[in-house]
Amino acid sequence: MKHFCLTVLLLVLLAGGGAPRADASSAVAASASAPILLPSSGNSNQLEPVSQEPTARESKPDPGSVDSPEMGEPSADEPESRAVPAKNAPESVVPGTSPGIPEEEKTNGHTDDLESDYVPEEGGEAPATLYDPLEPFNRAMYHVNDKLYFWLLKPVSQTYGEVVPEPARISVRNFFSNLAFPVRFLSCLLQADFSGAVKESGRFVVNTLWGVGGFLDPSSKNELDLPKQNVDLGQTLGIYGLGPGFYIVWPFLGPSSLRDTVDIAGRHFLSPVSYLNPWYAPMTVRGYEAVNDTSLRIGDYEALKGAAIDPYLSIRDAFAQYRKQKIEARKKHLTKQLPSGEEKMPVSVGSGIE
Amino acid sequence: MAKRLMKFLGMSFLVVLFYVPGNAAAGGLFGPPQSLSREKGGLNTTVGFDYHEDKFESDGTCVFRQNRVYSQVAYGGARHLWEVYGRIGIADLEIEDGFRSRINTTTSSPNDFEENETPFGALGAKVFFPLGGAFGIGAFLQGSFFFGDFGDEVRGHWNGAPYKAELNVRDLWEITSGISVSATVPRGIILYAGPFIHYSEARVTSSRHISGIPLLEEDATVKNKTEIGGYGGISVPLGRGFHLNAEGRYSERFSVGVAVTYTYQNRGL
Repeated sequence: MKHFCLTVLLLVLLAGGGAPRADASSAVAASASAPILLPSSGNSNQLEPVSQEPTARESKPDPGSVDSPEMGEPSADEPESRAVPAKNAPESVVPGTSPGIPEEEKTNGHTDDLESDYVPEEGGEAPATLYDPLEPFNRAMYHVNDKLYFWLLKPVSQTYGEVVPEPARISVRNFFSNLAFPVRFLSCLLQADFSGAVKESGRFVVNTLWGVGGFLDPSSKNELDLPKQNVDLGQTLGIYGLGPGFYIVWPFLGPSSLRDTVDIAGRHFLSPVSYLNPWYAPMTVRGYEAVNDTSLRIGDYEALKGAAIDPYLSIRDAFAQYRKQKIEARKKHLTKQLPSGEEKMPVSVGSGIE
Repeated sequence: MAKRLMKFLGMSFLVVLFYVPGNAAAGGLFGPPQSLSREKGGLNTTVGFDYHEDKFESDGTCVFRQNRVYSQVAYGGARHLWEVYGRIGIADLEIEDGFRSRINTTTSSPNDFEENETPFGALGAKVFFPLGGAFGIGAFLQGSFFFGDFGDEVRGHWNGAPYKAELNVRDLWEITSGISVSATVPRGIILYAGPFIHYSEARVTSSRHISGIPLLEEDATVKNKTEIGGYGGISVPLGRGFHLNAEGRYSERFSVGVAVTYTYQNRGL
C-alpha cells in the first residue's frame, strides 16, 4: 500500500510538472549563441550558467552517487571549512546564493561582473543546468539527505566496510546490479537498441547461472566481455526529446529531475525487491544495498562537497551535466548503429537540456 | 618416484575416506579428477542437472528418484592439482511405490511419493596427480545435505475405514568418495572413469501408522542398499572458457548428469 501511495504521488508530480521544464530547456538551448542572463536577485531558481569545466564528480561519473536516486547526495562534515576560497570558485556560481561567501560580496557588484564576463564560446554548447523552482524545498531535502549521510549512512557503511571484505561487498553490488536487469532491458527495447537488449539478456543469463545468482560477474570485460548497458528510463525519455523538467531532491533518494523521477518509479516497479514480503522487506533490502554501495565509495561525495562553495549548486549542476552527457553519449551510440543517413530517434539531438 | 606417488595417493585417499568427518553426497556430478580452473589457479563456476536414482532399504526396498539442479562455485589450485567446491541447488524426490500397499485390506492413492523443490547444498574437494602429459589419477570426497523435508500425503482405506496420512522424508544426506583415472585426448577433451563408494540415509516419519504400507508402518531410518558403484564421464571444451561435462554413474540404479562449467580468467568480480 505504501508503495502504491508513493507511486501515485510520483505520477501526480510527473503529470503536473511538465511545462516548466520545457521552458527551461528551450531557453538555455536558445541561448547557446547569446549571453545567458543571470538573475539579478541571485536566486538560483532562475536559469543560470554553470561552468563548462567538469566538476570532480563529473570527471568520475558514478551513477550510484550523483545520478542515481539513491541517497547519495550527502555532504561533508564541515562544508564551510572545506569550501574553496572564493577566488578559486567557478565563475558560474551565483554568489548571492552561496552561504559560504561573505555578505559583502553579494552587494559589491561582483554578480554583475559575472554576468558581463560570461560569454559562451562562439558556436559552443549551452552549459547544462536545471530549472529549479523548488529550490527552498530542494535545499531542505539536500540538508536532510546530507545529515542522513553523515549521521547514519556513512558511519554504518564504514563499520560495515571494516567487517566485510571488499570482494564480498563487490559481489553484493554485482548481485543487486544483476537484479536491475529488467530496467536496462526495457530501456534498451524502448530505445530500439535490440543489440543492447540481446547483450543485456545474455549478460543476465550468464551472470545468473555462472555468476552464482549474479554475485560474480563472468560477463565483465576481463572475462566474456558482455558489457552492462549504460541505460535507464530517464535517459530513454531524454533520447526521445523529453527535457528534464525541473530539479528535485527526493528525501532518501537524492537529486533527480522530473523526467528522471520516472526512472525511480520504473525501477521501483521493475525491481524484484519491491515485491518481497513482508512490507518492510523491500526497505530493508534497499537499505542494505545503500549501505553496501556507500561502503565502496566513501569519500567521493565528501570530495565533491569539499571542493564546492555551494555544494547544493555544485551537485545540481553536476547532476545536470552528467545526465546530459549520458543522454548525448547514448544518442551517439544509437546513431552509430544506424545505416548512414537514417534518423533513428524521432527528435533531434540538442533539443534542450538533458 | 611413481611408486611413492601412488603410495601417497592411496594413503591420502584412505585417510580422506575414513577419517574426514562430515556429510558428503552425490549432490550432482563428480566431474573429472582435475580442476577445470585456469593453469595458475582460480575460480570456476558450474551449472548442472543431475538425474539420480538409488535403492533404499529399511523394511523392504524402494527406489528414490531425484532431479537435481545446482549451481557450483569452485576454487582450483595451480596446475589443476586440487579443488574445493560448494554447491547449492534444488531437488525433487519421487519414491516409486512408496505408498503401495502389500496387503489387500489396505488401499492407497497415490502409489508414488512425490515432492518438489527442496533446497540442498554440497561441499566437496578433489586432488589430482598427473601421470605424464595426458593421464592422471585423482580422488574426491563430496557430501550433500537436504535442508528441507520432503513430504507427501496419501489417502485410502485401512480395514474398511478411510485414512489420510502424511509421510515426511527428513534429513536426507549423502557422502560419496571415489577415485578416477583421466585421459586428456586431442582438442582438450577429458575422459575419466573410476569406482566410488556412496552412503546415504534419511529419516522417514509418518503422521499415522498404516499396516501394509512399509514406509507408513513405523518411523524408520532408510539407507541406500548398495554402497559401491562406478562412474565415467567426458568433459568437452566449448570455447570462451566454457566446458560441457556429461557423466554416468551406476550403483544398483543408473544415474546421469550434465553440467556446464565456466573458467574464470580473472578474479571473477
